[in-house]
Formats: sequence, structure tokens, C-alpha cells
Amino acid sequence: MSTDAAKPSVGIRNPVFLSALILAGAAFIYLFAVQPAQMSVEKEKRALAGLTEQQRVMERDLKDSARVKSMLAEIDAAQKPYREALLTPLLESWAMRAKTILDPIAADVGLTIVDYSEQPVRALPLPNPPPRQRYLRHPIRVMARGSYAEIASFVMRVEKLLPHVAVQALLVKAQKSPDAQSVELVLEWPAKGELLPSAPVPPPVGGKKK
Amino acid sequence: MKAPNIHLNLLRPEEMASSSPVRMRVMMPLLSLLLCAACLVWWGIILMQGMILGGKVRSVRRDLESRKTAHAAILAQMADMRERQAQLDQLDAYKNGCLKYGGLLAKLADVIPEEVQLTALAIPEPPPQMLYDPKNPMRPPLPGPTNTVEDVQLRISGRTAATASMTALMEAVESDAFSEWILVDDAGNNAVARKKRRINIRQELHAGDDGVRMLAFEMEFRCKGRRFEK
Repeated sequence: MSTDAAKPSVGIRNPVFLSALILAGAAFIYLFAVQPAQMSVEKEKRALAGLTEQQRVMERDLKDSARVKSMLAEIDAAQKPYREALLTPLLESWAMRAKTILDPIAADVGLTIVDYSEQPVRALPLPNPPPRQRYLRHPIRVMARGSYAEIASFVMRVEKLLPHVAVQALLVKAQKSPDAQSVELVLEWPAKGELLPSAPVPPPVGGKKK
Repeated sequence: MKAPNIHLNLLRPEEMASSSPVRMRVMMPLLSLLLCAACLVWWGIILMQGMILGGKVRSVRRDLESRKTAHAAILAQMADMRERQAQLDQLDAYKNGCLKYGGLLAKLADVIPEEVQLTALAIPEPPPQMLYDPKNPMRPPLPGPTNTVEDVQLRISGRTAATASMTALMEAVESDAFSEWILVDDAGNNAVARKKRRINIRQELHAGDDGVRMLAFEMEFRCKGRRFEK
């Protein structure tokens, strides 16, 4: 009797076997169906989160469109006086351009300009972030003759008519005749400098807002 | 007479292993089946979630794709705006570094004493920009100067017979009338100007004035620097 109790009968062995079989099936479903599906869902969730973030950034950027356009217009308006003041070469000569600008002013005040010559350009400090288009200080040396009053008048007239032209250096040397002092003026203009190659185009989606 | 206690054990031996009223042979497969079914339901739910998520992903992708051109355009505009703003900052810095000296020249003419004969008046050229590292000249030059301020001096050279005239000229240049150009401290006592002023005086015999001893002088004043800052 006791030996029969310890050993399960054929009746229970079949359900155990059946249960084991079903459990194995469940394990199989978990390992080869549930888990991969779960991983795929996680992947999709991550992809969706990334895409939603891109969509959010895109919407924000598109909403900013009007603001960007108005700011561009503002910057353009602010740049206009500078663009008009930029020194550009005439017949490949910067001094020639300066001559065409300064000769009428000198004639008005009675100053005789005897020579124009180009001086080495000077770099401007760069803002952060630096622009691709760099600007320079382009000095032109002007040698002239005239009275002190004419020289002062010429400098004042230049500073009034050409507000973006600055006196970099000045040397007035007294001569025998007070009406014919020698003056050496270094006037500087803003000028276009080097244009650096453009940076790689940012991806169209998910651009960072300034 | 009391009947003897008769104990009848009607349980099968396998039924003695569990106290549950439900038979183990029924429960075990049933629970296994339930577990299996739960796994299948779980799988189904996850598949459903996956399908919903996939649909959402496709929809967002379509949306992004449809607005890609407009977004690329606005990004280009933003990049253009940043570039133009940086250019404007550089040009504004240049503008702030433009100082006007016409007024200085005009005012100087008014304060020069009659006894003083000016021989030269100069705003010397600034020193050359150091864009190369002197310690390592092989390195490429800096794109721009790191120093945003350029010092300016005003140098007046002349001759006079009286020191009083020279002093008068010096005081006039350091007065408030020239504070727009000549450096004075906030207290207005010209302490900075005095510290920065440099005067060289030498006595010379002026040939044209019948042996009158003349003082040749050169005064250098520190002016407000040119600040190339926004």
C-alpha cells in the first residue's frame, strides 16, 4: 500500500506530462513571441518618441517663420547703411575709389589732395559665433596740402558725409606758408573681407532654435 | 453495546498528495492552459500595441515628410539670419570704433595761444595687428584681433618763447572742452590724463628771432581708445 502511494499512478502522470507540455508551449510563446514583440514595441516607442520630438521642433520652427522673416527684414534694414558705406575697388584699385569719394569734398573745402595710397588692411574682432563673411578696416593714406582751417573743415566734412569713415591717423606738419600745411591722413572704410566656405547644411528636421 | 469505530479510507493514493478539493490532475493542466492562454493574450496585446505604434510612427513620418521642404526653407532662413546678425555685429563693432576728430581739430585752433607756433599735430598710427602667435609663428594666424580696444594718442609739437603759453595750451587741452577726446577720470580732475600725459621740452636757439631762446615742446595726450565692441 505504501509503495503504491509514493509512486504516482498512470492517471496523474498523464496530466503532469500534459501540464509540462503546455508549460513548455507557454515558455515557447513567451520566448519567441512575447519577448520579440515586446522588443519591437520598445523600438517603435523609441522611434515614435524621436519622431514626435522632431515634429515638435519642426512645428516650433515653422511657427517662428513669421518672426524669422521680420527679424531678417530688420537686420537687412540695419545692414543697409553699412552696405552703402563699404569701400569697393574701382578698376581694381581701392585708392581710386577713395579718390572718387574724397576729391569732391576736398574741392569743396579748398584742400589739395596730392596722393592716395593703399595701406595694409586690418581685421575686425570677430563676434561669437563668427560670420562666414568677414569685414575689414581698409585704410587709405591721403596726402594733401592746405591751411589748418581747410584740414579741419575737410575732416569734419568727411565725418559728417561719410559717417562710416574714420580717421585712423593724422599728421599735420607746419610749412613755411600757413596756407599750405602738409597733411597726411589715414582714413579707413569698412570693406568686405574673406568669405569662408559654407558650413555643412544642417539636417532639415530637428534643427536647433537659436 | 457500542459499535467499533470503522475507518474507511476511500481516497486514492494520488489524491492523498493534495488537500485541495479540486483534483490535482485537473488543476495542473488547467493552470498550465491558463498560463499559456495568458501568454497568448499578452502577445496579442503587445502585437496590438505594436500595430497602433507602427500606425502612429507612419503617420508622424508622413507628416514630417510633407513639411520637410517648408522646414528646410525655414532652417535656411534661420541660418541666414544668424549669419547676417553676426555680420551686423561685426559692422556695429566697427561703427563703435569710429571716433570723430573734426571737432577736436576745430577746438584746438581756438585754444592755441598766439605765442605758440605749432610745428606738428599728430594722431599716430596704431601699431600693427598681431595676428600671429610670437611664440609659435608656424601656427595659422588668428582670424581677428583678440584685443578689441585700440589706444589713441594726440601729439602736439610746437615752439614758444614763454612757458606760460605752453602751460596754458596743456591746461586747455586737458579741460572739459576736450573731454570728448582726451582721457579724464570720472571725478573730472584729469588725474588719468596727467598720468598719461608725456611732455618733452628742449631749449633751442631759434635762428630767425635774433638769438631769442625758444622752447621746443612735444606733448602727448592719451585719448579715448577706439572700442571695436558691440
